[in-house]
Amino acid sequence: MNKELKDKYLDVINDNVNVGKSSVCKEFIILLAGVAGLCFLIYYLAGFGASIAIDRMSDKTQVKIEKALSIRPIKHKEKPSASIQKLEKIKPQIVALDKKLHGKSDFPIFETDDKEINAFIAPDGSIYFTQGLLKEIKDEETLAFILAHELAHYAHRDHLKEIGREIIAGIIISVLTNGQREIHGTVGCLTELNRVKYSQRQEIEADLYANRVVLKLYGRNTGAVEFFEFLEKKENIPEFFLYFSTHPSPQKRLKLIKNN
Amino acid sequence: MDILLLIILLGITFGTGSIIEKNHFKKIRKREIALIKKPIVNFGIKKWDSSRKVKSTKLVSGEVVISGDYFKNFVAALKNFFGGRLTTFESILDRGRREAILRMRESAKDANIIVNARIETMMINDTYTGESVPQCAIIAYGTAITYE
Repeated sequence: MNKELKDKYLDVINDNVNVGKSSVCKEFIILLAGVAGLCFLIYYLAGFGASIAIDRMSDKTQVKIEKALSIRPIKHKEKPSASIQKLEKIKPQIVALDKKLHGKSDFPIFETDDKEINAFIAPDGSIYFTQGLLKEIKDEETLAFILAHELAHYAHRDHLKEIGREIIAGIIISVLTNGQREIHGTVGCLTELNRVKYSQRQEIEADLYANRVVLKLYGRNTGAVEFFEFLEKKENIPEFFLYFSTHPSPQKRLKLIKNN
Repeated sequence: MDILLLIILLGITFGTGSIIEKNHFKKIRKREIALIKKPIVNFGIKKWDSSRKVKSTKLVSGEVVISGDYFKNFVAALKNFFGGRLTTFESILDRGRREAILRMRESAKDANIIVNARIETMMINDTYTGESVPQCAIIAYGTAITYE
């Protein structure tokens, strides 16, 4: 083989035209940005659509849907504790303040066995306080604030909006991706952040609602302030990680309550 | 939690995949340069005219099964949505093809020429279920001829 031919072959070996020269990492980032942009857009549009539809929904339909959603009961203690009895006494006063809460549910209050500090409302209006929360918080005004916060979620129909948005976005994404596994996984992960942010906004609105309620009932919001100061001490998490949390940081919430 | 797991998995597989690919290309280049003189591979004509006397003929083949890593498959799946060149798979296919030819040539080191060489590819996984990763089998075969 002559030298010229050998050099030609060496060139072919070293300069491969069959493999793309572009950076895979760069391509990956561009693609991911594209998917992220697309799914954020879908979720915001779905959220917007769901909010409009849910806000216009009649109370009768709301109750019907909520009944259908609450098939599985949540485990709770049978015997109401002193704190639950206290909450049951405050409840009618809070419900009386808002027309949106009238005639839909009795809003029964239960205590769960969980050790973590939490309270939540089921789609049928049942309110659950964890054992951990009731153990730490005894003050009536603070408990009233938490109860009002949960009732605010119900009054704002947050649970239905969330479900509606998930359904609409889920359908659009399924159609677009044709059930592709990787795309679904990525979209699921990315929208998790988006959903959390949406929830944080709902939480802030619920906080403001609850703040208005306690101000009307007691003329002050010291209970709410104490509660967030307590949470601040309890949850010593850096602000950055709270982007991934469903609730805004206690510092942020405390500031909001103090300003209103 | 899911997103963290995904990032870790993508990061690890990108790192390992890049190292493996770089090393593989390095080895391929080295072996190709070592085999630059013989045997010559003839892909085109089925009949070849030679006045030289043939000592022996032999069927030679080189096979390779190659798969993309998690990162490459992930990028390809995203690309599948928007469309365009699947550059992550191009390098895999190139590696597989060159490796198969090299194996074929290495199994006929004493031969002068490999005539009528062919390359065939096939997917060895079930591509319809969408559950498995793309795995490609590449087979290169031809007739090795040794002159007297």
